[in-house]
Amino acid sequence: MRAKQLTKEFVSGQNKVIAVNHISFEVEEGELLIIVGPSGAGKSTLLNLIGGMDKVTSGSLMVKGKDIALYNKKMLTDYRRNEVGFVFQFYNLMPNLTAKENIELSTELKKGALDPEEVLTAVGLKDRMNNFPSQLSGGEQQRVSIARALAKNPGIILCDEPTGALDYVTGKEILSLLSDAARKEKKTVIIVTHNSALTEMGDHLIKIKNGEIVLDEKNPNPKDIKDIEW
Amino acid sequence: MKTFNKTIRKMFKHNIGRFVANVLIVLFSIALIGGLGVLPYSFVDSFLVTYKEGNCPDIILKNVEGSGFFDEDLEKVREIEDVVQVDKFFMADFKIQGNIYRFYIGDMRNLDIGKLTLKEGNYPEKRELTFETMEGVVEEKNLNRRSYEVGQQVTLKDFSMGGFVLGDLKITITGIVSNSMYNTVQRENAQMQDENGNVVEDEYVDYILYLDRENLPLLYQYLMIDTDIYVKLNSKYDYYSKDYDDYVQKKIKELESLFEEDMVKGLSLNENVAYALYDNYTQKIRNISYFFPIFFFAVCALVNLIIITRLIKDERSILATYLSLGVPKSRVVFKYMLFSFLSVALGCLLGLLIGVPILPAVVLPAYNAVFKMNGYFFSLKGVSIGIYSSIAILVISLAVSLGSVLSYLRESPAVLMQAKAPKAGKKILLERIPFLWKPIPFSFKSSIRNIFRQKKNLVLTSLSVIGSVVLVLLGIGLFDVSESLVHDELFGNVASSMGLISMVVVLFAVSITIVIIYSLVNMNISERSRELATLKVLGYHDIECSLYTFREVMITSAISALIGLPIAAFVAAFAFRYIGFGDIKDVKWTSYLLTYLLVVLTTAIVNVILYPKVKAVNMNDSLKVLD
Repeated sequence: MRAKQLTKEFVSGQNKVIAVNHISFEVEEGELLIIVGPSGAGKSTLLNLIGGMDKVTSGSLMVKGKDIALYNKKMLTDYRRNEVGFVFQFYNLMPNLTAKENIELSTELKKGALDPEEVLTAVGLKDRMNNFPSQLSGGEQQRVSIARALAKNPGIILCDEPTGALDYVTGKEILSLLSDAARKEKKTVIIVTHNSALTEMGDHLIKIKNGEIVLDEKNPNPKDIKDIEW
Repeated sequence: MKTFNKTIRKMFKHNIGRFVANVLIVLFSIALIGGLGVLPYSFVDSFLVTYKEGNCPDIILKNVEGSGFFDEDLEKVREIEDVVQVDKFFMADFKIQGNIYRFYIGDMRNLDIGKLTLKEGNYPEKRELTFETMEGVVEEKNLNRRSYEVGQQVTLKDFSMGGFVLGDLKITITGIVSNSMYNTVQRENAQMQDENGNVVEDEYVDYILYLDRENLPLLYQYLMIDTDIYVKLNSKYDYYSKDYDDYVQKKIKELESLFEEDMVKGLSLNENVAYALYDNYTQKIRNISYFFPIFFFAVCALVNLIIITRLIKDERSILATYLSLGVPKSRVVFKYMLFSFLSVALGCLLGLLIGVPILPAVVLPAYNAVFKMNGYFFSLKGVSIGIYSSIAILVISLAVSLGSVLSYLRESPAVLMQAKAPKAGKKILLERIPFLWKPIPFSFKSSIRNIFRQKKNLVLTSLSVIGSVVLVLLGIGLFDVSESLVHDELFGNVASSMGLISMVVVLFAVSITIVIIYSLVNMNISERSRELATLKVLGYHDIECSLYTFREVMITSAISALIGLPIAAFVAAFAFRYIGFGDIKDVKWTSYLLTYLLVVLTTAIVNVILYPKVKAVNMNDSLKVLD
């Protein structure tokens, strides 16, 4: 993935806010990228652009050789459907579907998706498959949400504050699941967080401030999440 | 409290759409109820004007025995108390060359009672005439009666009367008149006897001719005795009232007793086709005007409930703020009741102002196809139905709103402060029957489960759809019944204006369905914007996202409409019996199909209208906040 002069402006009336300001960076396949920055820095906007949830104002964003900055709404939907898995702070599971059905909801859209039961087993929810979200703990719900992202077998997994609503121990379990996805499944995993302690677990770190990159460095020796304390 | 009042103003400003929707529904209902309420009275008043202008007799005395009435008989009648005017003349029907002619012979120009209105030409000039040069005027034509043109000479061959063959008559038509006693297009039964003296049945009058007695050749003046006495009473009762009927019957007895037994028969206006038909007809409309309001009460209550519930739901956090700031509950209640009150009261007021004058104005000309009316007279009698219904709708709506506000006020401010959590999903009964559940496609499973998850929505949607089916079937059924009655001579064209009412009912039903289903689906989309946003993020296209909510509405409406059909048939059967018009058997099976399709299609159209709303759900806004 390669971003070049990537810019996102929001216009409301006479006011123009530049949320992402001419950002350029490169992410390798299978990399675990951590994007940190204070709230309002533009990291969520950047994630939205990478995830195809928002249209790019200017610049280019090449994913697998295609510039998604040029995509229209329908193409962006197909891009989200086929290329990206999402993990959100508040899980965003469908309350009327069981854990398994929540994953089916995503996999039935894509050819070559993984078996929902196998993925749920892999994230440790074998016995919770037929439970509704309201019957699951926060950590379990986030596991379902990760399973949903993995099951689609996408190239990229985007995580927006994935541990934001979880306690310390549960948060660590979730993060180790995500780092496994990058290390074992060779997915490109991008985690957006304001918790700078997490920077040590990534292969790659980008710091954002006021819509601009202030630091972009590779980490040749990422720490195991078990060894990180915050 | 100044700031509090400001929030009230803001509420109106932000919810102007809901306000208008509520006003419109009430307006529709009250316009129809109020209009139907005054319709029979305006109708009767307009109709009776011609009766009054023509100074129609209250009683017609018929000489049945054949000797005729004489001047002294007239004097005897005049002596009776309350008798103000009397007239006598000859009236008989003759069959000549296959046509039936009704002859009136009297002093046609100077009648006090049953006056004729000259429409064209003139009355014959007074002069001695021969059989060959007679003159007369003819009753104007209508759907079931023929007429001649002014100047036309009519030859009636081999005219005979009372056994005398009088030869050919030649009558020149000098004018065309209108008699208020023939105030309808209905066929007039011929009053004739065959050679054996039996009453001839199923024969109708083709022409009505009026001749002046003084113009006739002397032989005729001798033969054509006076058969009828017209009596005008000084009645203080209204036409069509029971008091009037009783009074007239009493007078008929009195009058009949003046003569030898069985010589005279007294007829009241009830024996007049137009008068009787009118009574029958207005009674039906009156019955409709009593019957329909019940539906509208239910519809208005339902709509008001939906609108107020939704309004309060949206203002949940504002409500919490009030309570935490210690604003008295009564003021909070007042705020939402005010919204309900103003919208309903405005709807009632506009409904009365619009419906009461306009509905009769639209429907009355349609009646002219059946009854001859000299202009339309707008009556305010019967406006009480609209006023009482307005009060009823106002009370019901306020009660419903109060219930809704109070149910929210029971929660603590802390609970209200948080947005309402989405309802948890759970397995439904159907899932316990695997062979039924398994084959259902995944997306339908989710929809079916959702239908049962949102029970309140399910109940409201079902009720609206069932109600709509009932109203639409009533409307279309009324049309069918009218159609089947077109072939029936007694009603004939009466039915065609029923068709108009049926159109109004169907239109009303469809527009109300649109408003209610729109509100419900709209509410559903707002409540579930988070789920829709999730679907969008997962890569569902806008169309697929809208199907997610719309599938539920469509399944619900398709099933509810099916349940609604037998209910509608039941209600329609009851309604037809109550109105005294038509039979449920006359409703065609295709009308059930049409009703079903119309209601389901209306729901589908609402979904299409709301598609942009689903499209507008923003992924980011909905996903980043915790419900």
